[in-house]
Amino acid sequence: MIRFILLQNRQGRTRLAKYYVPFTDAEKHKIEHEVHRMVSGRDQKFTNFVDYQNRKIIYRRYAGLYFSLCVDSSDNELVCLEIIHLFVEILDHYFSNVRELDLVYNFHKVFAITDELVLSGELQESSKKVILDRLGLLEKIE
Amino acid sequence: MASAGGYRGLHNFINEIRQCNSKEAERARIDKELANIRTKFKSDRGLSSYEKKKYIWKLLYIYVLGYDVEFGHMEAVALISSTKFSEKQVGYIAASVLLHENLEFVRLVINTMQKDLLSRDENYQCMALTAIANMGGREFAEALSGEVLKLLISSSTRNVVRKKAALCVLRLFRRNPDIISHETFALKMGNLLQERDLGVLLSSMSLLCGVVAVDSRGYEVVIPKVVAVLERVAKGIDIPQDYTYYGIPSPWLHVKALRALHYFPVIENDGVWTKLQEILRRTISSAPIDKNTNKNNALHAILFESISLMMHLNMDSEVLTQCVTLLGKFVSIKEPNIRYLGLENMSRLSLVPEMMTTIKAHQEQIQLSLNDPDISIRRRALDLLYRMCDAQNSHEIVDQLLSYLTTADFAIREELALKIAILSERFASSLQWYVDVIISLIDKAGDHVSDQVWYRVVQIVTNNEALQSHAAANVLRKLQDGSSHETMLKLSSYILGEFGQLLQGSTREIFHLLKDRLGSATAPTKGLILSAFAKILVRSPEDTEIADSIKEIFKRYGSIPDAELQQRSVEYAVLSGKKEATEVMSLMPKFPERESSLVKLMSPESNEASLPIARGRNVDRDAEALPSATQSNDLLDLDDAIENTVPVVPLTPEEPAKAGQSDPLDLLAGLSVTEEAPAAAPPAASGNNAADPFGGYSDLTVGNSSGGSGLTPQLAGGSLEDWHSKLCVSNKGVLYQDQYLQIGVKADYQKAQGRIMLFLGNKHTAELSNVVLSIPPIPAYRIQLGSVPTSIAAQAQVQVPVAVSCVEASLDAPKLQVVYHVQGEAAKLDLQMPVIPTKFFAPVANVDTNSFFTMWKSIPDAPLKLQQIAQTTNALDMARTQGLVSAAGLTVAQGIDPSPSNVVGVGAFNCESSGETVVMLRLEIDPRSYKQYRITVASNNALLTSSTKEFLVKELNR
Repeated sequence: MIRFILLQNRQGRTRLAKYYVPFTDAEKHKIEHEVHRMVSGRDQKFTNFVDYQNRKIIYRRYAGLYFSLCVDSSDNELVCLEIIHLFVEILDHYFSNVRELDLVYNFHKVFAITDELVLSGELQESSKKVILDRLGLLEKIE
Repeated sequence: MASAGGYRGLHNFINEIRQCNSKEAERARIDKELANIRTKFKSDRGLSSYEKKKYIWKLLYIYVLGYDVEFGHMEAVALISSTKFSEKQVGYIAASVLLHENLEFVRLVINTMQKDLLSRDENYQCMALTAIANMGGREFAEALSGEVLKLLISSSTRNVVRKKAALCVLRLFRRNPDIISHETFALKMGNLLQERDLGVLLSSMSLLCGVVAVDSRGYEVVIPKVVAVLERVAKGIDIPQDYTYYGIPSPWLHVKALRALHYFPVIENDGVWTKLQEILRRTISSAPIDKNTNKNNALHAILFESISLMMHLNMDSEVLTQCVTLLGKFVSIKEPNIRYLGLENMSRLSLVPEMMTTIKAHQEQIQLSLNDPDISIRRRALDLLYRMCDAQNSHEIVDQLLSYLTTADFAIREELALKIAILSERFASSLQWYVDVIISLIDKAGDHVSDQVWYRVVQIVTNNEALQSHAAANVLRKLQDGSSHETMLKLSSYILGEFGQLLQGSTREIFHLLKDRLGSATAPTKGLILSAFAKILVRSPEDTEIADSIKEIFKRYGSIPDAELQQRSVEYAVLSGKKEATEVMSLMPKFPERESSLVKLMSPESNEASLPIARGRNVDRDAEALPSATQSNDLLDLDDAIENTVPVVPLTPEEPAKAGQSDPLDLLAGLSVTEEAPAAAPPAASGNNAADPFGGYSDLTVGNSSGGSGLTPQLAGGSLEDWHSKLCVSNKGVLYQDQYLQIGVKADYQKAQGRIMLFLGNKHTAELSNVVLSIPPIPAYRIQLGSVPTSIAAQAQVQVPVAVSCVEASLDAPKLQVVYHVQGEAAKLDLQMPVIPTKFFAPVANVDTNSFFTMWKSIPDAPLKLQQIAQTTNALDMARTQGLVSAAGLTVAQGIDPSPSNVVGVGAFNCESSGETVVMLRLEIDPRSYKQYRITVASNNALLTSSTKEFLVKELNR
């Protein structure tokens, strides 16, 4: 299962942090710091996987943003890697050509999007259309 | 410019934060905003709906930036109970991010969630389900699982709700597996998997994986349904366009379905089996290579998952060879992700005999990956080399790892050193080889080798005369080559002091090599060098030049400030002149044979999703391979791991574990004939009445100070024994109470360490003066008592922290002596600290049946395995008994003992002297009366076994 999702920029600013297991705030800060240090120090030619505390970080860099998932060490790495890409495609559609600033100003919407994609640390829906339609519908109620 | 979703104030605030050019400026801006928000929420004016939402979003943004916004928790929770959709939505999202299940605070929302689950508006239901799935804990499982399960199963639930309900059930199941009744849920699961909607199917499949990962028995009925789903995605039947990903029907659902099947040992239905084989064959014969990265990844994800399943299900050898060839290809491929996965999957499958031959054929290729620039690949290569090591290739692999050690970077050295230590002992073909490897290891990576490892070498060399001159020559060579690592120096000093004279004519050189290193050595090493000199002096008195130099050194060290070295030098100097010296300095006696500690056979932490690896194939190899699986995961504590894996003397190549050869149930039955345990030791937990100066706990009068003072404390609200015994199974409660003083305890234990807070409350109307607390030292625990105020004002409470480290298992508990005075009269209390070995138990997750029995069988009878039959006056309630076993720190292991009236428990005891020791319990309760039971406790430490058993017997009989 996914234990947390992090979106961080190259400077280490957290743009999204979503935890599916309980951590205290201090632990969260430590995790965010360590994960950023680990993934940002890696060469582009390296694998997209790093061991982290008996688990694994599956990460991918898009422009200046690192998307990282922490998963169990027995989880299927490639399928997790593609969850990241699916997430990015959905953000891209939703914000039409997503940029980091979209995520900054609309951080609350990013939480709502994440909730439609991943739940209980598992992928909830793999259809972009279903997710985007759902988000559109929720906004109409608002 | 991106806008903040219509909240202008929020947008401006984010702008201002972005413009702050220093951390201080940002902090100042945020403090200002927090003050503003606080005032707004406190104001009587009442906030508009828009304002409430805006301020919560601001708080959430501040939280995301890493600041504390605790005061806002209540406001977020308040929004959840709003009747307005948009307010509720903001409240739920914010609370899901700000709060987590371990905060008591979150329970406040359970009621609202329940209402929302029952709402007629599916959007309210969705919000509640999402929030539960985000932050639900055990209480949520108890209060809400009924409603959530209803939503999952009801035929009127729409897909958007059902898929959320499925994952919500998964979350609650992970917190409390009892929310699902296995008998009825398997059929419901089967119905869910017949769903047409692929979103619902994906969520349901994830739920299934979570459930069968814990226990797949009873769920065999869903296998045909899973295979049908698999067929649908594999062949692309009835897949809507938006469920394809780069042209591939949902790779996520495909992989999940394969994974679900992995949790079943066999597929029994022939028709289903044939269909599954056909699907899997198709997958591997269309080996994917695609230019598009995403498509390529998706195809490989499916391929790797399929290979893994095929190996697990033991398909025919032709197909297996094909899998093995594919993996062989991957480990030499250039693309890093695929090579990484090739290595990892080979590691996972290294238990499969067919795989082993191929892996060995690729040994060279794998060794090359040890030098890859990417540490992730190096780690997998190291793991794989470690796993593929056996009696035939062990010398080559260990040599390879040793030479890699010289160039390996720091990030991996520790892990590498540990693996070398483990492999060299596991596959030691001779003691000499083992000793040589460890000496090289210490030479090259001394920093990562714990003291236990060199002690071990000393023991082996001392106990085996044939090795002595060889080992002495080896360490001498290392010193000659310039080795001067502290650990190497300690080992060399000891070995050369003891056995240096076996190397003819080297005494002079040994002396000089050690003397050169004496000045810069640390004090403990200096001590060892001085002892070596003393031995040289006494055993080779004929070389007067050396003798004079050594005496000179003793003289010099005889006046240095370090008391230990000073005394040692003075004593050696005096001793060397006496005729008894030769006797005193003769060879050390042999060491007693040490027990092998089989800890770590059990996984200390394994995640629920861990896959059974080739379970159906080869049971005894499986059991054998377990330690490697855990050690490779837990490398942080080198000391512990080495300590725990240090072998018995003499070293022999490991015998295959025999767990699989007999029925595991027979194993337990066989043990039942063990005779009664020897005379019971006094319970560790309760006070030993004979030694109790107050003559037992039932006396209400405690005070009887020797000074003959007149103060008589009367116990209030309980007895010493009751309080103590409650605290033995709880970490919070009253330790003592009389009309003047109450002592409360709150404790927190982590492995071998405990932090206890004593709360001393003065109940009296006058001051308690001259308060003195003391804890007399006992060998089993190292205890530090914090400062105690000399007086406690009337009606006041003071806190006294106590730090406890468990050094070893013991039947003795530390005492707490308390003296206080009321108006000049003294009261003196002698209390028992609720510090007992079970407090230092850590839970053991996922106890594997095989390893449990392997270990159970490996522990001999008394005193390591103790058994007792006892009667209780009241019938034992199963729930209470299991609760008691858990409260004692043992993890109740389900599914190991088939009888429902029996309880099996496992715990990992932690102490400083021997690290982690596994304790196992089997409790057989007479199912007719529930009043008679037989308890068996086993561990590799007799004191631990007996204290655990006594404790449980006492608690069970209460």
